[in-house]
Amino acid sequence: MAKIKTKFDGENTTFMLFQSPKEFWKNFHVTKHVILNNNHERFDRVLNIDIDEIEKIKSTQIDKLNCNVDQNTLQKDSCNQCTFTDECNTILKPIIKKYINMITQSVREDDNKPTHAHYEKKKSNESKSFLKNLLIIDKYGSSIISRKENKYYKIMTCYRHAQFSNLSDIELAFRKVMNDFEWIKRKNLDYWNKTLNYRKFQNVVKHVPDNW
Amino acid sequence: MDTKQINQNLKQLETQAYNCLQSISKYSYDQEITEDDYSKEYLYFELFYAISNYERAINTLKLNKTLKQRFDAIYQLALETLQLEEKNYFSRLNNFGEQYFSDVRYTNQINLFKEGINYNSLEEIPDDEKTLIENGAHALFKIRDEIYLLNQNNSLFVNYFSSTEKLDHYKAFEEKISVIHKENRWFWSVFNEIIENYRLDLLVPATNTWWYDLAELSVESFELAIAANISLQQEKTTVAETLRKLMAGEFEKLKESTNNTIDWIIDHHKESFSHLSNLTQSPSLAFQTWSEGMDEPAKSDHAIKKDIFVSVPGVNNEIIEDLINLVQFTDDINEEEKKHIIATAYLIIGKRKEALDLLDDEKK
Repeated sequence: MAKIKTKFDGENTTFMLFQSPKEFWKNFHVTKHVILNNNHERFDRVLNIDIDEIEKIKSTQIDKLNCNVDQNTLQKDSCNQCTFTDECNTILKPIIKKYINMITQSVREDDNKPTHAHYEKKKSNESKSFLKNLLIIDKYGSSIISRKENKYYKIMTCYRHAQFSNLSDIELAFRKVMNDFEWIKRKNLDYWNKTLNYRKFQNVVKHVPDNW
Repeated sequence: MDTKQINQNLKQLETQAYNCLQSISKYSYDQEITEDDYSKEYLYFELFYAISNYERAINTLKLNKTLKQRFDAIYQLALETLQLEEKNYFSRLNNFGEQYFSDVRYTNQINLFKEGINYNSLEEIPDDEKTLIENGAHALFKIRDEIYLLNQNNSLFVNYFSSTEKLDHYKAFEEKISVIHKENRWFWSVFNEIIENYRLDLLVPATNTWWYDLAELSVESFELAIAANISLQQEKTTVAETLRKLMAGEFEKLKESTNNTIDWIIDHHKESFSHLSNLTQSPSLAFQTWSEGMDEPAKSDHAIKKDIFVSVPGVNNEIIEDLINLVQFTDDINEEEKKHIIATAYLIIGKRKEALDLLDDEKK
């Protein structure tokens, strides 16, 4: 488990990155968000990865490592059951490094222009207790979600929406806007502004409101 | 909704419009944007929507007088920004608008979205996946709302362009999108809470009926609705597989366009699709129904005799000829697609020579 120590909300704060056993978390999140869902999340542009490389890794995972991760699978039902964890970790290593660096940098840089929200949310519809969560939206528009545990925050996931208005299927180019991190961040903020109003989110506190 | 929340929503709607304006201005001076890049045109349509949303919210809250100056300031800035564009700028906007609001695309997007959801695991969707699904639902519902607001007489788009440009096709898009939207009413109902929240954020008034036409689905009715959709997918697959069996040898090339052909038939001539679907669902296998020997299937996909379909029992030539007439006079597909649909139709009614002539004509 890696620690990120940084100034947050004016206090020294520790973020814990990936849970034990760490390869499962790393393999799962990179496979899901960077490799499989690149069409929607476009991490290739953020992490500067060649699309061909992503496709090559995807084929290897499916053809040789029997990968069953998809949009709807949970880590416990996929990577935690996999017998090719080490092999998968080896082929994902350079991308994992970039993904983790990005998260670390984003958590550290939030203090420069705070764009995060604290909120409480039930673990499931049936639970009665609320869990304390933290959402950070970074300069690329990624959503980094952590959970408060004792004195530190445990980073649960990092994903982004980069395809907002169904521009797919249109035979025109949109390179500029697709690479415009500022615009994508704005659209992610709009999305979260909407979503944080849902009943399932309680005690929402946005920092700093003007940045939202 | 309390006053604080309403104020926050209004502020967000105003900010969205300013953000669009800011990005458009930035793109206007960006020398790196190439001629084929329509990012700015996309942002203009986002701006039209954002301004209309802000205006609608102000009207809903009857704050027209109080917020007049603020609204006018944005509207004026948007007008001035449009005035800075070159004379024929509408044609670029229209290139984008025609594709963005295409009813065919809207249908495809909805179908793609439906197909992407794993209904077996709806109970246990991970949070990050939920947000992606919510986003998809927003984006699709938004198109319905966008085209409605775009066509309003007082919209920036209509105000600025109606005196010089023909905008009737946007009305036509709205009519078609509205029909498709209605046909998927059960589907929006699945996302009842998301859409309801979206409506509250935008402060949509009760007069925009489609925002309210959402019944909350029970698990049972949801399963029924899903089953109906899956059944259509299965029918499509069966009809496609059967048609592909007609296309061996000289018609091999037609196989590639079979799915598009079927989609077009479903959208434009449901009678033909139902007819073909019924044939494939008859008690004996479809392939047997369409072959001379009812007792045993052909030995391979390529073992179909040339004139076999002239005597296909059960094929109603009138329905298929009606389909051919319709395709001949349609203008919403290109010539190649048209030929492929007609050639497929000819094959179904055994007019093999006519089908070949058409395809040969394409090669010339």
